[in-house]
Amino acid sequence: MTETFRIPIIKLKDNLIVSIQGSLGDRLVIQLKEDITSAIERGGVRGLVIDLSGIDVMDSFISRAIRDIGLVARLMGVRAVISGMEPMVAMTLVEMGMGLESVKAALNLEAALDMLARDAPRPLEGFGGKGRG
Amino acid sequence: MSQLETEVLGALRVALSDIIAKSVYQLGLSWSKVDTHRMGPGDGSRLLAELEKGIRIYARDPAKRDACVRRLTELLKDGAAPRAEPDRRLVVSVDEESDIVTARGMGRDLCRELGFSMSVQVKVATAISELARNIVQYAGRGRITITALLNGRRGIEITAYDEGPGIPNMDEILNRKYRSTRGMGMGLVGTRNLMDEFEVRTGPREGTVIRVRKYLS
Amino acid sequence: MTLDNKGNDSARDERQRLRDRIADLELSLKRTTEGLQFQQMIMKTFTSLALTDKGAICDTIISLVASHLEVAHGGAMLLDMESGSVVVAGQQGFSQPRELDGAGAGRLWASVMEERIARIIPGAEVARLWPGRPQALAGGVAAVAIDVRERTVGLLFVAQKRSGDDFVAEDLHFMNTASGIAAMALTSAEAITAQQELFRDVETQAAQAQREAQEKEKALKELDQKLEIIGRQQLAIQELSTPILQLWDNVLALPVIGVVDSKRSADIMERLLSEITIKQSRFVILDITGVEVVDTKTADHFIKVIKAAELLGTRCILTGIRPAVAQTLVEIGVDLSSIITLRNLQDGLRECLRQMAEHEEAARAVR
Ligand SMILES: Nc1ncnc2c1ncn2[C@@H]1O[C@H](COP(=O)(O)OP(=O)(O)OP(=O)(O)O)[C@@H](O)[C@H]1O
Ligand SMILES: [Mg+2]
Repeated sequence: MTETFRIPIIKLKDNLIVSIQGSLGDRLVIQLKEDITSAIERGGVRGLVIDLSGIDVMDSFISRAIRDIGLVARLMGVRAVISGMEPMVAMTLVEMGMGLESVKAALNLEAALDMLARDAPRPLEGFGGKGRG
Repeated sequence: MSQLETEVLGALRVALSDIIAKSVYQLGLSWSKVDTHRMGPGDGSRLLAELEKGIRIYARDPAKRDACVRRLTELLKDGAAPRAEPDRRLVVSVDEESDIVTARGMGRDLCRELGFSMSVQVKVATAISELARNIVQYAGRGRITITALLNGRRGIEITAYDEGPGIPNMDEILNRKYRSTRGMGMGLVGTRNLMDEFEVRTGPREGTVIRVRKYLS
Repeated sequence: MTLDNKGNDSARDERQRLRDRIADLELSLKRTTEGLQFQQMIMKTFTSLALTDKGAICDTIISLVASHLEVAHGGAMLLDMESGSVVVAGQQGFSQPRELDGAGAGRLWASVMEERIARIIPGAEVARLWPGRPQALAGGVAAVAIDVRERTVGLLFVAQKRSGDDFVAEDLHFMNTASGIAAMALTSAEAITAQQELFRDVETQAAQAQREAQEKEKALKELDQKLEIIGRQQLAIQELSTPILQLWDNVLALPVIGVVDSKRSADIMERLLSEITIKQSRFVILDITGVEVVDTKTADHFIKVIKAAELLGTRCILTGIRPAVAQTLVEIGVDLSSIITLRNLQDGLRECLRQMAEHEEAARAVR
């Protein structure tokens, strides 16, 4: 199944939406990275939402995959936002000592799109809790 | 309820169903009320003792009754009675990525059964995921055992075995001086942070054994 | 047939004798058959009645015997072997059982019981043994002892056939059988009584066991309820000690009071994060005015809560750091630079409202 299945990428206006469900394997992650970068390459993309509400266990491998996707997207001028992380997953990541520095978080898909809409026109001003202090 | 006791009751139920069903019923219990999953250690032998009493009273056919009681006594003697509950152990062989999901799912279920909180369930599942993924990524194949610790301090123990290349730079990894090429290099450190106990035995010729534990309180 | 052809007197006499003999035999056969049938009936009656009362057994047996033998009087009596007095009696044709008791009666009955088998006691002998005998016994009696397990316990007697005939051998035979049946009925009565007692015993035991089981179950239920109540109380106390307040639309507040150990901080973290997801709150204010001391571990917990909340997409604000706490934090080198810290809960809420307004404005600007 891992060989044939691909994570679908939805384009909504100038945003890409990826919803990650269940478990990711090596191949699936590589495929996803490729698919996202080529979608961005095709143009007209300003933001990327990675929805994590379907993930109940997130190990360091998946964390790294998400972080990498965020970094790659940023290098290509696209902001990445994660949404809908399960509370216990968040707790586990923190306990492990991991963060997802390259991406910002939103409570849900709507909030994520909202965040992207606000941030996109004024990318240099830098919104967000961390920069603000 | 230990597996043994479950087996004993199962065998009994099949062997002597009518008498037992009747006496259980007459004692004001019923099989549907005997929830074997919610029984603690020793409940099984108590139930057997109750049954024996019931059978002595209710079985009208003396030959059948004697056979029944004899069998019960035998079973009670066979260890259902005062013996400590054996630790429950699940073994999952880990050969490919899909096994990672299987292993952590089983670990999570066992945690739930043991009464771990939601957050600990996820933590243990994540730790299993780390260990299993390392097996797939670096050793190719191996196995994971998940044990419910029921005697002494209650908890769960995960052991990951493989006969892969071993981890030569373990100290470096655990002191976070190591930069991984494939991951965040946070798998083992993260697992250690998530669990209460963390033990490694590794060597170039012997593969890797990592044993972690999480206690209920 | 050959006799018919002889034609002489002696032959005719012989024939007549034989005829009588045959008639006698036929009658006797008929009686015996009837007797047997009757016996069977009595047997059936007794087994189906399963009588346990000795009086009832005596009554039944004598009425059956009297009706079969067609006698006006009779009795079935159980006697106390020491005194010879009547203990239980069933009688036919007497106005009251007392008529059959007394010193003279005792002598008569004793003589009956000396014999193991039925016999006929002629009127004269009855009169000799019991001068004050009732009129009914004047013509003599047919009587038999009742033996239960080789022990004589009573007797059965009849007097005065309605036909006026004397008692005959078949009658005695029947009496013997009747006495046997009576003995059997008495024996089985004992057995039945014993069995019933046993049965009652078992029933009471069963009822007892059931009661015990029910009581046990009840006790268990009560215990369960108590445990549940305690559990609820504990939960309530826990929640009370760190309540999660909805301060405003989109703003949750968690005032932490007292000592925060790792168990409690895990609880706090789990509850807060779940609450954020459920309420979809964009802001959380962690107020630690109630925390007097912090150590590295406690500080670490707070930082973890804040980081996890931010992973969910919520902004966290830390308020109410006491001077002593602030000093300790600096001394132990905890880095809170990435976290918004404000003086108190009010300031925290104000900041949330300000950010929300700014957000609204930005959203309007985009549209
Ligand atoms: N079972 C194993 N057999 C051989 N080497 C292993 C094994 N497990 C881990 N290693 C080695 O230890 C290193 C650290 O493992 P760890 O799980 O901490 O990080 P990672 O797997 O590199 O990254 P991450 O788990 O964060 O995706 C790995 O890079 C690998 O070289
Ligand atoms: Mg790893």
